[in-house]
Order: sequence, then structure tokens, then C-alpha cells
Amino acid sequence: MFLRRNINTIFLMLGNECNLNCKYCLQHPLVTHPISHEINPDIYDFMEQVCKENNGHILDIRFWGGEPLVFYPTIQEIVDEVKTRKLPIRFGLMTNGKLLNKEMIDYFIENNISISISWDGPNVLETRGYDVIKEKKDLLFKLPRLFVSAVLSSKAYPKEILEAFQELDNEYRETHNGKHIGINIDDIFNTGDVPEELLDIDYDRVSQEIEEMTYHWLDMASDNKDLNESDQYTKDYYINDLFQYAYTFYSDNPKCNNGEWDKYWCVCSNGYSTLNLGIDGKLYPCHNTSHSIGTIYDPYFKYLNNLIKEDLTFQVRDTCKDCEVISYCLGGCKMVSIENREKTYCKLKKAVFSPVLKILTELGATLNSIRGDNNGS
Amino acid sequence: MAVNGTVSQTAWTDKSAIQGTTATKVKAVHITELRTAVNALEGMVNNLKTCQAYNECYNCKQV
Repeated sequence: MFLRRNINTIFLMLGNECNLNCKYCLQHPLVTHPISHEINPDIYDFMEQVCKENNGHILDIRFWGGEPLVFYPTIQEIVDEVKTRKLPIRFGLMTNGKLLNKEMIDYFIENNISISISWDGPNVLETRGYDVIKEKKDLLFKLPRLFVSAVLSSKAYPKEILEAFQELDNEYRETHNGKHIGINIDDIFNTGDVPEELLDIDYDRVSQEIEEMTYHWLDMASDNKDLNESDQYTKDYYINDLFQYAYTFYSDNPKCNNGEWDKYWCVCSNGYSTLNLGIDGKLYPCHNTSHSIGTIYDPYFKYLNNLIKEDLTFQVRDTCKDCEVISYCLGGCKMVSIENREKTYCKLKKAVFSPVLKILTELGATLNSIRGDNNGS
Repeated sequence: MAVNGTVSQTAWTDKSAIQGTTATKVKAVHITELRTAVNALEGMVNNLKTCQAYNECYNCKQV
């Protein structure tokens, strides 16, 4: 085997300007200066090289900001060049949606660019100051696949987010032959200056909600029901996603980890198998910072050395290995300081995932007990 | 033209060389029960595979 770059995703950082000012934006403390808006044509050669190293596997390119739609002409320019070169690349972007118009939607559909919309449910005006579903729903429903992503905070708890997603899903399915929307909930990150009001989370409430939803999911799974037919699809889907973390970590399936933490760098793989590339050719440890650690012209080992030096995961490893929710956060975000981990980050991870572990543990104990009884008889 | 240096053969990129030897053992609270539960639900996991554009499992992302 060879030490080769093993890159499956590139966040293409178009610029860090944004047309909103979301209270929880994790870029606020990490972006200290503007990054370049000028395309260095060498990035195309670089992407081509990465594609060749991936033995023909599709490379995911995610357009990133700031707000990526602020840079819509740049997106078009890049997509056109990649098409001309016939590279095996798939595009996607996450947007606040405020600038979306029909021309953009048509372009994204024509070029098979997947779109994920940031939306926190009923209290979105308190967190993001803009309700994209209220303002742009008709336009968004033109998309053949719609993803929505929320941030769990003191202003948006899991059930209210998922119930809002469910209403959206019900409506979307009516006009899309029963196809579901894609959903995601991120736990709030404090990378430095998130307002206390958003971090003042009722952790018991989070745990209670997730416990209730996990029991519902377990009933559905035990009855071998089809998730797609669930009347609580978004809740079951969310819990199923949480279950995947436990499954991947604890299963003895050869593809899984059998209860061992064998990954030594940040779980998001940013900088490693996920590259963060400025369009001028600079490389970053994370797509949410303006602090560069190299360029596409650097020897790979030099770049890798700079990357590893700043990866906080190595510092927290001893603490994390004894944490009950390690299978969920896997060392967590490398951009969250140790101090902020202790204040809120780890508490929220535990509030979200402990109920899932508790219920799985109960199930496992029951099954082991039954098997023990059967073996004894 | 982007230049990234020649790649060279190493031992430590061979995953089999580290599996079961240097992987960190996590605190083994209820690990047997958890393994039993997730294995019992494995059939459902396959049916309910949830990978999507912005939310792949971390193992798949290493491919």
C-alpha cells in the first residue's frame, strides 16, 4: 500500500463574505481576513490530479462561503471548466437561500448540483434572522431533491425542528411522487463567540426528547417496518442516523470498529480525506477558517505536517477515550477549544447521545439475558 | 501545474498493521450489551442505510 492522498471531498472556498449574520455562525471567530475571490487556473489541474489518484471514484466538490450564492458567477465558471475537462466530479452546496432565484434553480437542476438549505424550524428568525422556507418554498420545491439542515440550540430543540421538517416533508412528498426531503441536525458549535443565550440549553429537555424518539424508532425497527412509510419519518430518520454512529463504532462487522477508536485525526477528516481549497490554490485545515496552512504547490508532507500540528484531536484523545459518547463525537470538532468543550460542547453531545446508548444497552442486556437462559437450558 | 511530490511506500498506511494493536481501547462500559444490540439490529441498519449528500458515516468517508 502507498501513502497517497486519499481525498473524496473538496470544499471549494469561494470567499468568506455572507449576506446574513446568523448568531451561531462558527466562522465569526475563525475568519479574520477575506480570502481570495480570484480563480487560479491551476486548481483545475490539481482537481484533475486528485481525481486520477482516486481511481475513477467520483470526487465531491462542495461550494463553500461565507454564503456560496454570493459567488454564483464563480460557481458557473468552475462548473463549466470541470464539464469541459470531463472530470468525475459531483457538485453540491449549502446555502442560506436568500439569493436563490429561478435562474439559479434551473442551473442547479441542469447540472445536477445538490442543494442543502439551512433552516432551523419555527424559531429560525431568532437564530438566522431569515426564514428561507417562508420566503422561497415554492422555488425550493422545484428541486428534485431537497436537503434541509438545522442547528440544535437553546432556540431550536430536536422535536420542534423535526416536527417542522415533517410538515415540510409531507408537503414536498405530495408533489414529488412520495420522495422524502433529506434532513440533518448539527449540534451547536462554539468556536469562540457564540452568544450565551444560544448556548443556554436545557440538556434534560434534549435528552428526554431524544429518549422518547429513540423508543419510537426502536419499535419501528423491531417490527421491521419501512422507515419510508413512517408517520414520524423525520424523527425516525434522525434517530436512525444517531443509531448509525453506535452501529459503526460497536459492531463487529469487519467494516466497523468493534468498540475501538482507531482514528487518530479529527473525525470530520478536514485537511486529510476532505480538502479545503481556496480558489486561489491555498489550502486550509477547515473550510470555516481564513487561516491557511499551505498551497497546492507545497510538497504533500510539508502540508500534512502543518495540518497535524494544529489538530486538537491529538490533545484531547486521553480525555475522549474514557467518555461514554465517544462513538458519537469521535473526538469532536478540532476548531472548538478545550475550554469551550468543557463549557457546552461535550455536555450537548452527551445530552444527545446518552439516551440512545442507554436504550441500546437495555436492549443488549435483555438479549444477552435471553441467550444466557437459553444456553443454560 | 500543481506539484505534490512523489508518493512513497510506507508501512504505516497498511491498516492491518495497526488494527487490534494500537487502536485506542475505549472505556468498556456496557460494550458487550452495545455490541449485542447493534448486531441484533444490523438487518435493520442495512435496510435503513441513511447515507446522503451531507451526512455520510465516518467510515465511508475514509474510503
